[in-house]
Amino acid sequence: MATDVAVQRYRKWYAMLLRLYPRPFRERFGEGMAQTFHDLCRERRGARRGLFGFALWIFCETLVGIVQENTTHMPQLGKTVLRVALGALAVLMAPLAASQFVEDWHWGMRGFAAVYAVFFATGMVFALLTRKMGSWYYKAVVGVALVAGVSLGVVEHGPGGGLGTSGAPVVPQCAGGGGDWGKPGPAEGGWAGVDVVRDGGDARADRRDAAFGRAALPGAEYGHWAWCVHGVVHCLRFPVPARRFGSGVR
Amino acid sequence: MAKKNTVPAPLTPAVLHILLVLATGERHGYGIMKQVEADSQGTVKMGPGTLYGSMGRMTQAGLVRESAKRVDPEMDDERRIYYELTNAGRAALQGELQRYRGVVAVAEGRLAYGD
Repeated sequence: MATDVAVQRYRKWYAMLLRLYPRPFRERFGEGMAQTFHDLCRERRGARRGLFGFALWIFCETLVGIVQENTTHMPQLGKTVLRVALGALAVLMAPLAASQFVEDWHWGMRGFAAVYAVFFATGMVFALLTRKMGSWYYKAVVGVALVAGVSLGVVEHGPGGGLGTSGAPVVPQCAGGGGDWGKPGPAEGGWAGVDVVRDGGDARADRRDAAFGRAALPGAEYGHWAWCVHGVVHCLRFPVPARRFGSGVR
Repeated sequence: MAKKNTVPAPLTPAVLHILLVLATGERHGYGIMKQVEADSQGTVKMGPGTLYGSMGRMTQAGLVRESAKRVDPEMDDERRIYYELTNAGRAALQGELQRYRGVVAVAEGRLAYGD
């Protein structure tokens, strides 16, 4: 059964909880909410019913309202950043979980932080490119382009240390697309994805759908340039094995 | 580009219940909550977070407005903020009820066809 002490205690906690509302909302409705909570507690006490479960429900319900109100008052860019940050964190769970089961996968804290930064940057680029797109098809294509670009960077140059399909560093293909593709692997697949989307975006932009071209091209170029930068760094770090340029090269 | 939707969006259950309560006269927060519970025969229970969150949006949309603070003679000597329906709120309620009538008509037609 609810006692006066318990009611006072819950009222105090509820008043503290109300401070989490945005200031304009709190100033307008805070007093009414506190009063309503007090009325509800008094009703429960009058009916000689317990207060703990009821207070817990009210606190949770109010907490949901607090999150909603804070999100509503957040500027659009802030919402986008928050969504992308949480999305990147969710995606990061995949390598984090995989590292527990795959042998020789030792990224460490720095590695995970770097990959998170890449995921976050990619998410922001995606959000900015697609912010005015109505079609999910276009968004998906831009997403493919970005994922292709990032997969190139992460697979080839990520915290794992530039592993190709054979475990050796793969020769970058950034210089005009020349050279041998070598054995098919994630990097080659990623590069092909970037290429296809870029060419597709080019073709569509030439014809009728300029919006698609405007969105797909920067998406593909992001992947392209990410790959080129990583390629340059790779060239500096690893000597280029001649065998990867085909048998004609001596 | 997606076409702009000119049909007014359906009201949320909380907003609809609050409008229904205020259609009979002005009330304070606790009074609204108790009346919603009574109207829905206990099936709809809203806490202060839902109630005042909805009130905030409804005030912003011009569906309800605050009236002067005063004491509820049936409760205690605390002064309370009362809320009342605006003309826009009454129109929104009527529009929603009209929408419900349309849905019921379609549903009855379908059920009759099924029989």
